[in-house]
Amino acid sequence: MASIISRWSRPARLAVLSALLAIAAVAVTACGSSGSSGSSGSSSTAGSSASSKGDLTTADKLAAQWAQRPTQIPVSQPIGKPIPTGKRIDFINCGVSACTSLYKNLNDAARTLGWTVKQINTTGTPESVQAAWKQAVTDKPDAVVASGFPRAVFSQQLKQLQQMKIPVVESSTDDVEGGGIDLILSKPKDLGPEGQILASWITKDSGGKAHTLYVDLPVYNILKPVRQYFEQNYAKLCAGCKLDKIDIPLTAIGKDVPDRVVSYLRAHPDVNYVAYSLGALNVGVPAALRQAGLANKVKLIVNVGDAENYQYIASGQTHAAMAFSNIDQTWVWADALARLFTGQPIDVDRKAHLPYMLITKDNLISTGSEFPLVANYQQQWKKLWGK
Amino acid sequence: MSTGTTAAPAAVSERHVLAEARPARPTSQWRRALSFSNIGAVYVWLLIILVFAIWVPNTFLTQTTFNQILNNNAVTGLMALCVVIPLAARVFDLSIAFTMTLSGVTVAHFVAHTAVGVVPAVLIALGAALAIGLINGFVVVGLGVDSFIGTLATGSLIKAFITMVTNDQSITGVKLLQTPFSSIAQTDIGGLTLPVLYLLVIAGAIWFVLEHTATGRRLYATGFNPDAARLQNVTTDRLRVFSLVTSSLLAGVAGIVFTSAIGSGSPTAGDPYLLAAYAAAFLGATQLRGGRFNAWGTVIAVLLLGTGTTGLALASTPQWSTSVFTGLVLIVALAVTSGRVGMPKRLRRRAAVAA
Amino acid sequence: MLKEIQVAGPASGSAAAVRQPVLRLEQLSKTFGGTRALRDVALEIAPGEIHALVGQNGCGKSTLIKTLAGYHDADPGALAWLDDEPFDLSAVTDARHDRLRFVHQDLGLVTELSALDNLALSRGYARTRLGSIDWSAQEKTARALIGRFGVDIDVHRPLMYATPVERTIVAIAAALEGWEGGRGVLVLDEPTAVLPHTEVDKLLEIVREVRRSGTSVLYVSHRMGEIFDLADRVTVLRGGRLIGTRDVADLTPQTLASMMVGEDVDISVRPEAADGARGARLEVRDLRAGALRGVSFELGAGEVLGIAGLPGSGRETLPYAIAGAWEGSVSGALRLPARSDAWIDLGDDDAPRFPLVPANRTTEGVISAFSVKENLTLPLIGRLRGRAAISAGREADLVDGWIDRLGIRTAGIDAPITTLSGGNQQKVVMARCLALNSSVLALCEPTAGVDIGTRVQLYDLIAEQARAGLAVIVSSSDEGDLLGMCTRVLVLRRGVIATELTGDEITEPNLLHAMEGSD
Repeated sequence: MASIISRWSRPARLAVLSALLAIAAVAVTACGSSGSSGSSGSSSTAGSSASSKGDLTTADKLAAQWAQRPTQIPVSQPIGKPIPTGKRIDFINCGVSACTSLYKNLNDAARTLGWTVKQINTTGTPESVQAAWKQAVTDKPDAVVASGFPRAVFSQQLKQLQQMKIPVVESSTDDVEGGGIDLILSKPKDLGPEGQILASWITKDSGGKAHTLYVDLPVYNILKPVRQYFEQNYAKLCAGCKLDKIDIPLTAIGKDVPDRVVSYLRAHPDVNYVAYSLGALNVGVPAALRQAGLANKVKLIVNVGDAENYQYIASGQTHAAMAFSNIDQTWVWADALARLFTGQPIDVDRKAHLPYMLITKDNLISTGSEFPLVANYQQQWKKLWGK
Repeated sequence: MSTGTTAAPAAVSERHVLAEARPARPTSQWRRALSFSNIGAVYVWLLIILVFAIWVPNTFLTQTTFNQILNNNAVTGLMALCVVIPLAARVFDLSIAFTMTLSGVTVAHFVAHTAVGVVPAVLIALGAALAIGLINGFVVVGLGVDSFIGTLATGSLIKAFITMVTNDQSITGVKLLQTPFSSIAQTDIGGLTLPVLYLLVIAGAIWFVLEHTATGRRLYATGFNPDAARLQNVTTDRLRVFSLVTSSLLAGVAGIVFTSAIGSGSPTAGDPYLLAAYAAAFLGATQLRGGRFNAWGTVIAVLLLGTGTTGLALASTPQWSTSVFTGLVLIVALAVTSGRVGMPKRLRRRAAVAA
Repeated sequence: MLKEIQVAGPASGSAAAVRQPVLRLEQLSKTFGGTRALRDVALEIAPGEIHALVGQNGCGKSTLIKTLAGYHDADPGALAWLDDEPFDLSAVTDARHDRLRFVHQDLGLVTELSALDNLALSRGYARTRLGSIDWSAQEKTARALIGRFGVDIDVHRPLMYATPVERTIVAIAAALEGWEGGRGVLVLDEPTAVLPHTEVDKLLEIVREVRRSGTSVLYVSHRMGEIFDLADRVTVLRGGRLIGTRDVADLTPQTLASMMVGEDVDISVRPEAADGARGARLEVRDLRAGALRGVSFELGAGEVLGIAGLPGSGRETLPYAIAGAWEGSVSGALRLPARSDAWIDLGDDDAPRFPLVPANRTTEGVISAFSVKENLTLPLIGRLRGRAAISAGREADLVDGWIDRLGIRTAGIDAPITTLSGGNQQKVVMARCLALNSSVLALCEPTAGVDIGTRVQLYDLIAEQARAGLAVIVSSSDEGDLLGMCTRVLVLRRGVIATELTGDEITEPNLLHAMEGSD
């Protein structure tokens, strides 16, 4: 089945080929230079109204603050009443490993209170999510816990749960409490500290002279507020510092990200910091930087550290991470449910500030993913719960 | 009067006249070797290099770029080479991505969490890959399940197994970041890393087997016409199992190399590599051997695509441009070399007769 | 039974030549790159005649047909007339389509669809006023079109379940659709190639019926018998050139063959009797496989044993079963007296395997993607090894040797096998079998798709091998093979040996009677 083109003479084929490539090249440069959102190379310079020296001081202070290990759990009010045991909780797993970790920790907290947690799996498709919520309705548990689902997908089931007076607690969704959802942790507006940690460390470490590349994963909506907070803080603290952004598709993690980052840095030799909106994006990058001879020219900070990045930090291949622990979050969930089961309001949980930390090699706690920020969290929670 | 036989393909007549009319003119071997239809992708590659050399001269045309392209595409190249031998025998192995991941997490586990040492850990991981290859062989040849579906199914089982043992968490450990394990993928030789060497050696080995051994000849025969091959005493079943075992083993090698490169055992390591591997193998089949899946054509294809990706990144184009480039290059390169990729016998014959 | 359609037009051949030809071609040339496939060919078809177009493979007749169909563009300078109206060979117009219809070798049918659907493929379905398909009207049309040929087919059944002749008839009906007879040419390209012997007559009747309706037929065929049975005139091509157009009545098969080949070719060669004194090479006892239900026979060294029989008699199975290439279960015993006296169970995994020339060359015989060299050496590739690699030198020498010995015409040992003519491909297959140096050789349909010149060469080759001691089994549906090669023929009927013919008893009528059981 010879194509028509192959019947043409060689010069004709070459001409067509060159034309096609030229058109593509033109299209790509034209679109690239239009400065659309998410395009690379778009830099912004922070406003220079405030004196750079003042910003630096704040940055130093903030970085020092965040570098301290939290010692208090986010809630201090004891429950005061005996917490009923034997409660059944349904946990709906969003399908990625982060949610599996939430399940595991929720289970630990629940067991302390004599409750059981049943996991309902989803595969990421809206149909599977709906099916999971439907199952939760059928189960008639004492409470439903979930993370990362937009309300629209399960609004009907939510209404049914509300009618049955089954409490629903969530995290990491861009939604408001009410209408059936009793608590949302890690809402977008709670993520301010994440952006602040990244910005303050970069400012402090660079002495106010940073050119940062922010590497983002736009497919995860919950990372958008992280970027916004980062940009705000960066503009304030690191006056005059440049900021570039690139977006990465999910399929490039591990395979293409190292090459993209290395290429960007080679094309923009001024960049001296790279910040990732999610730690997973850094996988494989340190080695690629080394091979390209850039390891000493750039410093890396990741948002939401994980075992891989903590290992990198321990061996000096990555320099800082924003640490956040699922453990702390899930025990707040358990606390909120305990209050609901004992008929108490849960304002304290709604207002709880989950612990964050800025981790560098100096204050590295552990190289595993699953360590609590508050070291004696179990003790503290048990005291609140009267156990 | 013959019964139930088809006449010889009608397309024969024109070319037979050549043979009949005059003795074969010694066509210039070199002219054919360098023709567009033989190595069209190489010309596309050169054109791309030229384009980027003009577009981003300072950064593109450097030793660093050369090293970068080779280093960062070595694992993709290894995965693409995985599927060449099975494809020569017309077997699809769609489980390679998961086999890669499995061997990666296996070696990571044994290096990080046990004291067995790096070499035994590597051997255990390769053993796991070998086991997968044998399972695939059993399913596809023993049970007779079509290879496309069969390996899709075994892949799914492997994925479930990986989730079960890793809980979807990466396996990390300080030993994974240190020598001797890290030296598997990170040893630097004049700017190039060891995986590039693995790629060249394995490509050479596959080339040798397919081109110069009886096994290679029989593999192609099995792929092109299993019925005719069997009539010629070619043990098609054994060869197909062989092809599945080699693809799994090579995927295992890729997984170990990848784990050493990133310093952890990722439970999703192989996922992005499946498509890239097949795209490169198919593009490679149009080069050098006129429709036969071959090693060096595949390597050229991987590097061609990698050059474009890196060049575009150096030129700071938007992130979606890489996908546009890959799609475009595949279409153009295939069309220009008249895209005849060992088409199913049935289709080709009908085309010849109807023509 | 066959309906007469009212049209003018004579039925006999030579008178037609005087009238204005319905199709005329002159100075038709076609060049592909450096090859001149057609050189100044002229062709002229009279109204109401059956005009045969013959020539060996590679003579250019398929190029001619394709150019006429508009698939190829003729070289500039070609002239063509339809009924004295000049037409442009490169323009595919409705007017041309109206008077020039084709049934190509592959019939152009979609076998998964029914006759009704296939007939509607080119012309469209009958529509109701709402625009949906009017199935009853369509069915009526389909039945009428096919019924014209006096055949009863279920127009709703997928054609894959129909017999080959039924499919051919549907293809002809589809080609003639919308054409109620009258002047024009129906081109039939090797229509009997896939038909079993018993159905060929039916088709020939239909071709005559088409002629009766006033349409001329351009009939391309390999088969002498049909040409002399059917055609009024015949045009012979050789090497892309027109050799001549003659009235069939003025020719004999011998003279026609000579025109085609260009030299005197003895088509009635008969094999010399085998020397019985050399002893048996192969003994078979109670062979059962497929349709075979207990066949026993002996095969002597130097003997060429023919196997004849209708489809389903077990003829096609026998050589495969003996050669160890039958995929189903086989039972029975075999003995090779020259090697040992022991009987070997044919069902055993280590039953001996003999070289086999398969029945269907394109699907079983050659690997189309391979070169001549690769096809020839495939079964012996293990013996051409150095330490690990294949020795390219030894391989090339071996292949060159066979090419010389058998006179295989190829552009080179690395030429794709598909560039060889059917006859030369068959020589490659033969070479491959002979190179294995076995004592027994099995051939199936050895001259299928092979031109007459090569046919004779193959007969000579087998005869020569037999003289040197090779024991050969030939299974063929072509009586010419059995006549030309065999000294003894076993005729199978319903899975057992019904008759054995030796020497002068082997004649076409005897074979036919024996196969059909009417002796």
